[in-house]
Amino acid sequence: MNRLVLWVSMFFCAMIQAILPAWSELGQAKPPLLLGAVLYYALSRDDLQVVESAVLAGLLQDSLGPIPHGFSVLAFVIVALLVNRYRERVFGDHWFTHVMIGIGSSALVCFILYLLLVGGGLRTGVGFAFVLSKALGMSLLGMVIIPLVYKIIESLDFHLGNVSRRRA
Amino acid sequence: MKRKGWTFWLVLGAILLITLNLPLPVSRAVKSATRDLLAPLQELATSYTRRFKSAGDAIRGWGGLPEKNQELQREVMKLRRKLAVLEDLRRENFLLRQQLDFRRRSERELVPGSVLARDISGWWQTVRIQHGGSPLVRPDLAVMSSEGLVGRVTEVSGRTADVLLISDPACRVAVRIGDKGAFAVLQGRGLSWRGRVVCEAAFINKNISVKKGDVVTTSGLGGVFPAGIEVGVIESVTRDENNLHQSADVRPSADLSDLNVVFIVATEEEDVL
Repeated sequence: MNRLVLWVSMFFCAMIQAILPAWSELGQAKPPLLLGAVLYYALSRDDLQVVESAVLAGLLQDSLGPIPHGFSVLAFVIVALLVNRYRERVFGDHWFTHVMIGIGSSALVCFILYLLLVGGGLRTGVGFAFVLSKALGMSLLGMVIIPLVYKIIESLDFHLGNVSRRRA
Repeated sequence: MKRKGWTFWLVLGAILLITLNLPLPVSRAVKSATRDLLAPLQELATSYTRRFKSAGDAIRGWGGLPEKNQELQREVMKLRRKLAVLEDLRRENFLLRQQLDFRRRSERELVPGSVLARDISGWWQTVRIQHGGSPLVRPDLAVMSSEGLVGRVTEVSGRTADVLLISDPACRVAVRIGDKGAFAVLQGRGLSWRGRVVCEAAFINKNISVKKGDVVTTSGLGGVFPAGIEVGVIESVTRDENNLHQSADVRPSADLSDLNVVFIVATEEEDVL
């Protein structure tokens, strides 16, 4: 049941993220739903599921867009492992932690993808000002979306009996 | 803090290496399968989103319906007049070509497609459309809406096709400006802060007069976009620093931020008269 929730959440987040429009005022940022799901697993699960969620989310993001395979996988795995490594030093269950992690990890994913895309010669026409505005936009959206996604998947896990108690 | 063993890092490294170095046919197959798997769900979600949006628009625009109706009637009158003129020209063109023993271009075959989704990452200006499994759809075909050029097909799966919009910096279109024979290369500049699509027509001959309001159409050069598709209108003209060329900002005719149904220009065969 645990794995079912993981896969369903990832596919659902990918579908919604693809449908939602990008915010032109925020550097074409899209609501980071897939990253939200990855961070939920990074904050609440151990090694294998963290990697499984990051790889699946990355593969979905790469498959549903023009990004070459592996770019988003690498970005999500780096962020997920970083968050997973330091989760015991922060209040992993608190909403404020999710807000702060949402801001930081959204920007980090944006910069990692930018470096990979520019390094691969795929987005050479994109200026650094655009990337900064996109990172800012993704951080703002991540600040709102990531705690929300966290609560929804946690609630789903709770109702299906995957977690024994609902955290704060 | 539990330390991860070397097998964990070895497996993770292998996964990353494999995904980053997927052979192109495998990568295409994975992308195609994922897109086809999600297409029915996306179509369902998109149709509900549109219903909500149109209901919202109807509530917001309730008071302006008579004005909108009048505006549309004026537009219909204008288009009828234009059609009559074009019909005369077509007849004249047909007779002249017949006398010169020219070959006639057949009607373009248009494959309709409904827009399912946009680029998931926001790094590209693309839309995914559902083409109903038409065998005519392949990469590098022009895509247009009823208003004008939209972009070109980049990737095709069994049910869907990805379209790179003309607003994307990677999309370049050979265009003709006005009726004075000015040619240019149109390139997307993304969206402005206010969400307005910006395109730039570069390398326009400096000796040809180009002005605001001139209509930009595809020139047919380059082979991807057939000639004569309306692209947009000139908004402003600037000379480059060395005074070698002119460039112009172009406002696309198609509303790229609100696309619902588009048409893939599948063939442009030539038939003997």
